[in-house]
Amino acid sequence: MEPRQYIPMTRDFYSDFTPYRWSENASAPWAPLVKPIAASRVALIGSGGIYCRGQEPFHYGRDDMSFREIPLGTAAGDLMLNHYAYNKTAARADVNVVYPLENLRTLEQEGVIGRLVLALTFMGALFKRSTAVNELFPRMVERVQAAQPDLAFLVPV
Amino acid sequence: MGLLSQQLEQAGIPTISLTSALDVTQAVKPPRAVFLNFPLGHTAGKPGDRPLQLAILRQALALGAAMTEPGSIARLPYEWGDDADPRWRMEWQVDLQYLEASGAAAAERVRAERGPDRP
Repeated sequence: MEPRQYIPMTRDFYSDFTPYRWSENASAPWAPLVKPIAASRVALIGSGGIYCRGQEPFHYGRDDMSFREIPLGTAAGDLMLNHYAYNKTAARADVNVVYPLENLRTLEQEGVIGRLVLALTFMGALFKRSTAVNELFPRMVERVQAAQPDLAFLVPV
Repeated sequence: MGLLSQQLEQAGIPTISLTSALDVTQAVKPPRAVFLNFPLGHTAGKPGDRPLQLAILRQALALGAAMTEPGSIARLPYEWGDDADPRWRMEWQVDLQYLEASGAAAAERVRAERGPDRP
C-alpha cells in the first residue's frame, strides 16, 4: 500500500486553522556509528508523552517543553501517557508500540544491543519551534551526552 | 523528533529513527530513518504482538546501522494488512478531547464517526 501523505492530510483536516508549518531540511548531519549495534550503548527517546508512574504527567495541550527520564527497569505497566495529538488506544493497550523500553531490554538480554543506558521521553507535536530547538532539545542533548551512548534510538509518534 | 535527531548528530551522537509518517520524515530528514507503513500511534508495531515488535526493532537497528548516506530512509517489509481500517483515517488518529477544546470544525465530523462513547 502507498504511504499516506500526512502533510496534506493534516492541512485539509484542520482547514479552518492556520496550517501547521512542518520543518524542512535540505540535508542531514552525520555522526558515524563507531561500534556494532551488539556492542553499542543505546539511549531510547520517545515523543509519545510517556511518563513513569509517580512522575509529573505531561500537561494536556500544546507545547509542554519538559522531558522525563524513565528509570531503565520500569515495568511496562508503570508507564503512563498523556498527549493531545494522537489516538492513544494502541499505546494504552501496549506501550511498546510507541515506547519500546521493555522490548529493548529484551534485545539487551539477547545481545542484539550492547547495553541500554538511558531512556528519555517528551511530548511532541510542538508548535513553538524556536523554544524546542533552543531550549528543550539542547537540554535533552546534554543529558544524552552525559550517558555516553554509542547510538540514540528515536521513536516519534 | 527530526529536529532533535539533527541536534544529536551535530553533538556527535549517531541516531536511528523509526517512523510511520514517510512524507514528514522526507521533509525533516533525520540522518537515518526506518519507515514502517503502519497507522500513526503504532510506530513500533501492533499491540500485543511481541514477536512482530521485536522483529521490527531488530530490523530497524540493522538497517539503520548499515546506512552510509545522511538522510537515508529504509522501508520495513511489514504491511498493516487492511487498507480500509479506520485507524488510517485522520478522524481516528486525532484526539477528540483536544479537538473539541480547540474548537476545530473537524470535531463534529470526528464525533459523528466515532459515536458517543468512543476514544
